[in-house]
Amino acid sequence: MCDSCGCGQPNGEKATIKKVGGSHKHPHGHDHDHDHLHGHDHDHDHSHGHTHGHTHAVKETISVQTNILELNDRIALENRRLLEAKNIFTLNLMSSPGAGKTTLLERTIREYSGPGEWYVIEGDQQTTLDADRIDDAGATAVQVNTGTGCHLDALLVKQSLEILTPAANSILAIENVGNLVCPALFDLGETARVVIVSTTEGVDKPLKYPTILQGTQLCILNKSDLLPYVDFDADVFKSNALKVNPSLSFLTISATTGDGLDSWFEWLDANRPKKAATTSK
Amino acid sequence: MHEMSIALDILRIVEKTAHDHEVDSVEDIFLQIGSLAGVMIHSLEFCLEVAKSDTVADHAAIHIDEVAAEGNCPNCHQAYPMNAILEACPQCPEYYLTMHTGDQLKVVEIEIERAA
Ligand SMILES: Nc1nc2c(ncn2[C@@H]2O[C@H](COP(=O)(O)OP(=O)(O)OP(=O)(O)O)[C@@H](O)[C@H]2O)c(=O)[nH]1
Ligand SMILES: [Mg+2]
Ligand SMILES: [Zn+2]
Ligand SMILES: [Zn+2]
Ligand SMILES: [Zn+2]
Repeated sequence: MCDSCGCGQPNGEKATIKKVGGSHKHPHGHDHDHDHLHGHDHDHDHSHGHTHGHTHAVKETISVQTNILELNDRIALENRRLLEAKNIFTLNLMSSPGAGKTTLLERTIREYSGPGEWYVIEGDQQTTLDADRIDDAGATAVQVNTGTGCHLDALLVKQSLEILTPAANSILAIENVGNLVCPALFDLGETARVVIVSTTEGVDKPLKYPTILQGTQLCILNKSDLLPYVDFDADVFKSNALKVNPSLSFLTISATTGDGLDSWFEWLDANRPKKAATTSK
Repeated sequence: MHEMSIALDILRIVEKTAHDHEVDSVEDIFLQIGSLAGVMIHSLEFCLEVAKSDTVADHAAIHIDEVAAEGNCPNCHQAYPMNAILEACPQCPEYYLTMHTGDQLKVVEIEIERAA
């Protein structure tokens, strides 16, 4: 179907959203069974009765002039308003498959000492493996399985938020599906976009996938522990990325050894919304 | 490149427009897609073909106006065609062109038939 990344098979299964584990953390919680929320349903029934005898049909042009991404953007705006009202710091984490998004989140949940609970929306095509890892690390997680879909959209996030119900003044991390192409086009309602690139990916990534860096605030260069073993010049990488987005910030870390994690925690502190939500609802 | 999501969003926009105008069938759909909008047109056409059955657009013809991308150089201020999102000015290689057209993803209009 999609030649570039194989997304959106027309007959593929639809996205499902599951809350994992967590019962030990919410002894008084209710268990809502939202197993089969379908992101892209057409809920109208269109019947095309054949009415015969209208021989004098006239053509009429209706001007539409609508941006196709407007539907997603409108839902993203709803998400953003809801999250801002609760003063929730929302991160959209994007990367190629395996760059280290989940590893970074696990460590951050365990080691970041800033205030507020962590909530995570995990986007993957299949399995609840990542959400289980996040649950073990101690955050509340929802797994979205996109099936053949290769990105999260604002509607999937909105539906996930209904299940996750994040508390005021918390931090919400949305781990997008591993893909450097389409996640760039779909606003989810996040406060900031973070792109993770690992040192095994090559310095030309920003030039090959410029769109993903364009609306992004922070680029994390992960797997710095592998720098001695790979042919990766961090300065060339950064200058390539700055060509695409001159206002991009960079951090170099190793999510496995923990090197540079303090700079990430400082970035979190510095970029969190300052005011506390007045309402706890 | 999510062409299926884009196709479904196009059909939602078309269905809503048809509802608002109280018609249950659409004859023609006119789209404008920029050459650097991140959508492969043949793939989008295929997705629309598959997705439109059993919608108001069931037998609608799809017309895609592909808009060639163009950008301006921040240095010499000339406009040049763009073949990639990141493209240097042909005259001033150290400057990148700023796209001013070519990223459109738009439903322009639809045509319907009404019994006279
Ligand atoms: N050497 C090294 N390996 C790392 C580092 N961070 C992550 N990894 C490894 O990279 C692999 C993928 O890490 P994940 O955290 O699952 O990556 P991801 O981005 O969440 O992957 P997807 O969700 O599948 O897209 C795992 O084997 C990690 O242990 C790092 O800093 N250094
Ligand atoms: Mg992961
Ligand atoms: Zn996609
Ligand atoms: Zn795709
Ligand atoms: Zn120039």
